[in-house]
Amino acid sequence: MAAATLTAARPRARARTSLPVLLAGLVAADLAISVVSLSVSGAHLPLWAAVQAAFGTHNAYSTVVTQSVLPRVLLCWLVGAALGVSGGVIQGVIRNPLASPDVIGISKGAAVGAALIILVFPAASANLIPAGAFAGGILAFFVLYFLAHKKGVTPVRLALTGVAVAAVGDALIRFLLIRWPANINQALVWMVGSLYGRGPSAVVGILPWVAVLLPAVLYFARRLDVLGLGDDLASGLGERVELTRFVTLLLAVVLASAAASVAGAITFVGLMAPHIARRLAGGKHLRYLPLAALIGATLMLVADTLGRGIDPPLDIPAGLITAFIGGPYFLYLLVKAVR
Amino acid sequence: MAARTLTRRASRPCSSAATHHVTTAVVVALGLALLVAGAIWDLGIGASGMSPGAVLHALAGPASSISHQIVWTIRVPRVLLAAIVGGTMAVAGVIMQGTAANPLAAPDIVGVSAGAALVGVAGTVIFAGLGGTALVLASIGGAAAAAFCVIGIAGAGQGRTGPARLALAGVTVTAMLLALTQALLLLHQTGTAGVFFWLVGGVNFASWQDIHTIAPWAAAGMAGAMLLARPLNILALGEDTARGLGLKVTRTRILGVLCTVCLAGSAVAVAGPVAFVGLIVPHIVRLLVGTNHLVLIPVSGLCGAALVTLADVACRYVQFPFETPTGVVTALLGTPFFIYLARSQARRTR
Amino acid sequence: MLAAAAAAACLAVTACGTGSAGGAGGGSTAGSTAAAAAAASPASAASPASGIVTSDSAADANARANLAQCGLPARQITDASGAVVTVNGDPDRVVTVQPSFADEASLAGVPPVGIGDDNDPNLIIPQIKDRLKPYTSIGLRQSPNVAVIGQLHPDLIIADYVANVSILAQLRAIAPTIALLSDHTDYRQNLDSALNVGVALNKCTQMKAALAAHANVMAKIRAGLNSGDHRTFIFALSNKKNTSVFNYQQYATTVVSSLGLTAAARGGQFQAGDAKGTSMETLVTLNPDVVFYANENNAAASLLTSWEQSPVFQAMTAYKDHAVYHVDQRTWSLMRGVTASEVIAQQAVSLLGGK
Repeated sequence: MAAATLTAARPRARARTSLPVLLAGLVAADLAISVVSLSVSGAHLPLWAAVQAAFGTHNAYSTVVTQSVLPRVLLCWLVGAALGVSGGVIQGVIRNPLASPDVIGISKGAAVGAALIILVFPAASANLIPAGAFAGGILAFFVLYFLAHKKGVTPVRLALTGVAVAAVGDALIRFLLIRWPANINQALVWMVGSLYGRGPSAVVGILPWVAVLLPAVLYFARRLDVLGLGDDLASGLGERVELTRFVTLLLAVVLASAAASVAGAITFVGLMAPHIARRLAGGKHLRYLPLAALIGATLMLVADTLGRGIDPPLDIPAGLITAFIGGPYFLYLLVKAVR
Repeated sequence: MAARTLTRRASRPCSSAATHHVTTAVVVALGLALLVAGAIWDLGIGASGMSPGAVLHALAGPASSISHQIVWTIRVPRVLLAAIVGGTMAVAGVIMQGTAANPLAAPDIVGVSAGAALVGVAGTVIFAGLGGTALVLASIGGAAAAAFCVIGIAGAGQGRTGPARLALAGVTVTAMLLALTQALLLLHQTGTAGVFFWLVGGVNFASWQDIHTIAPWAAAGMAGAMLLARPLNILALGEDTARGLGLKVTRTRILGVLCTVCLAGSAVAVAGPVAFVGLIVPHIVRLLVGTNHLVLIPVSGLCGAALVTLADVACRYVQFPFETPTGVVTALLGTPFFIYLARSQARRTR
Repeated sequence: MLAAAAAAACLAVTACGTGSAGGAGGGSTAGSTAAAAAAASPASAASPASGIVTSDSAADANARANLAQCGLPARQITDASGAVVTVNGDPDRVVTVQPSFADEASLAGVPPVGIGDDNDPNLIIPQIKDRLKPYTSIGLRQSPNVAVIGQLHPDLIIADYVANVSILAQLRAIAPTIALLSDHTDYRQNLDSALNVGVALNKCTQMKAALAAHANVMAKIRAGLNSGDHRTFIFALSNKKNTSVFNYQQYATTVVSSLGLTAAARGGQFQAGDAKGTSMETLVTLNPDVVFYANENNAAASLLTSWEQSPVFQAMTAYKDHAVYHVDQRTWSLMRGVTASEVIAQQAVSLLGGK
């Protein structure tokens, strides 16, 4: 419904920038930001030396770059891409441009999982936190699906139940934070979404998921297009609506959970990236999902770099910056919607 | 169970009016009973170990005795504030739902609580000198800004808003405000737990000062709500019908939002954002007494007061003997209800 | 005479003020730990669980085992996380996340090159600051900037076991890192942390001497109080929305307890764990003889200051005796360590009417 409106909003192809040009441009921009980002760490790393250290040269900055800065830059790419694609799929399936992994409760589920480990079992290994987050996100999805299911699942029911699941997660988190407040700072930083302290192990943690799931989602791109036409039309065209919906949502949720497991509950990236991608490239999934991935990466890169660079040595969580960008973006939407 | 029997009875054309009167009377009586029982029970809990009987005895006793002072200065304001906050949040929910013509509209969902809470946290962390009326005004301002943002995004200005669109818009704006609030909490490194306690919402540390602060706003809000009752009844017939009947729809909507933020904003300024009261109570009451706002508003206020008072009793036992914010109990109560509501809404709208 | 000696012995053990005598395995003063070190039991990890780590013999055993490493060129130090870290030679570029570790490092003669001061140079109290050399701020204690730490090229990092557990791996890649306890723990644990710092820096003699001098200072301060003074007291922290009364096992409370006063916040609500929100009724029911309180960020107004206007509060013994004292949050709650305890003790005694 909403997706159809968005695609119909541009009836004449206004000399649309060709997709390959857009993609190439974004890749170039992201690479540029990445290079700049390498030197932004609160410690004034000279740019050239930082780049050399990133590529393996041993110099005075190697440890810092390879242990701390480079992993964060790589994570921006991976997390941004995962969230962008995840959000795109969810918006397509729910047929609502306001849907995203955070809104339908996946991020909250991941937050509950992480909060459980951080607050209730603080003596547990720090490696359990990403595992808890991952499990939490996926569990939230199954709860959502179970609750929204009644002879199949409609987009509206998914959206509303998702909001309810997010509320459940929220209540659980509040309870945990009140009952076991010792590590409340750590939990809050996690929930705001941050790449602070993520090292090479985090990159290794998310890489396989992104590498496998991104192509998997693109495999379903055409089926998602058909789904966007409406349930009746899609079934008429031979599409197995329920199955496709379930599988694609599951893929999106796993992507979002993997992202949350390393970066915490980052808001707005899964909402803005597909939005912007669709405006630039139209509504066909094969076209706009890769663009959403790159735009997500850009958002994360900008947010993380700003977070490190605004007030060193203070490390402002990337999730806060994405929220600060998301806010004005939505006010802008508001202005446009009134027309 | 009881609700279903009542609705079945109410759907029979002939005796529906009479049945409604009976049902309303029953609900009011029940609400009052729960409120009084809850209040007495709440008065009886405290570290100095006075039982409800001893409490009443102390209240009646000389003003100089320590027991009397403890009860009067500490326990009575807490119970009173619980009732006031419950009433205002419930009525805010009724007005919001009537204005947005959307059963999922409630102060916490639409971002009103989040806006007011952000101002409250800023008032603690940055502008520590802000107090009393200034803080309430600022809270109401924050609440209003959030509400207009959400309604604007959801496009309520263009006729009926689908419940999904409003809920999603509300969640988005709330997330943004929450991020801002968390930014303030994170940069204010010490004492996060204490501020967070307030953020969950509760009347645990209420004082007479709080009552003085909220009373005028609550009274004004309630008066405004009752004045809006008839216009909202008309609005419920449908926007076009209402316009046809001469109602100034946009003006009513704006007044409705203002009334809601006045009620909810002042409640949040004093007690933090107590969750779900504005969602649960109007729904249950509407099931029982019907949709006439002239009845719905006062009865919701009464039942909201009873709910939060009972929640305040329950919250002492969550991690006895530590204090738990009242908002934890309302949140734990409200979430299953919210799920049920979301499912039934989805069923109803395509 | 005996009482004074016992008091001096007790000061390093802190449990005395609360009535549980420092028993056989319970603890010893810094001076006699060398002897005890020979009989050290195997070290084990101290777990912060869901709140405070109290003085327990396992952690003591940890410190004592580490003392056995004194003077060795390559010291095997067991830190609070249970990891065994090898520290070589004499580190002179030390980064400390908590200011309490900075205090202890400077006492041992090695002022740090990097300190976690929450981006606020005024965080560190002057008594400690005067001993420090110019340092680089590494940011917030909860989330110090790893890159800045790396760029300082330290040869030893002293991290906070509770707050920095997620970045320990990264820190260990930069330099040998020991994770010690400072926050969420009591006076005695902080002294143990001081011992561990001394061993790590290979300045055992200096540290032991500093701790012995500390014991003497505390004994002198304590002597300023009437020896029969066992008044009950509480310490609370308050902001506009919340008041938290610290329980008998937290840092400031244990320091004041070591002076002989009795901590009132014990049992019931005040078990182990961090301070939680307290209502006025609970405070009034406790009815301590003395109230020390601090406002967060040293704000002028807080919930507790508004309580002071209430007739219920004014009926409290402490109020009637004019024994409600407003103190500084930095000193009493944020600094911890060795020097802060001396300042707290001195302030407490002079407020209480001692010399």
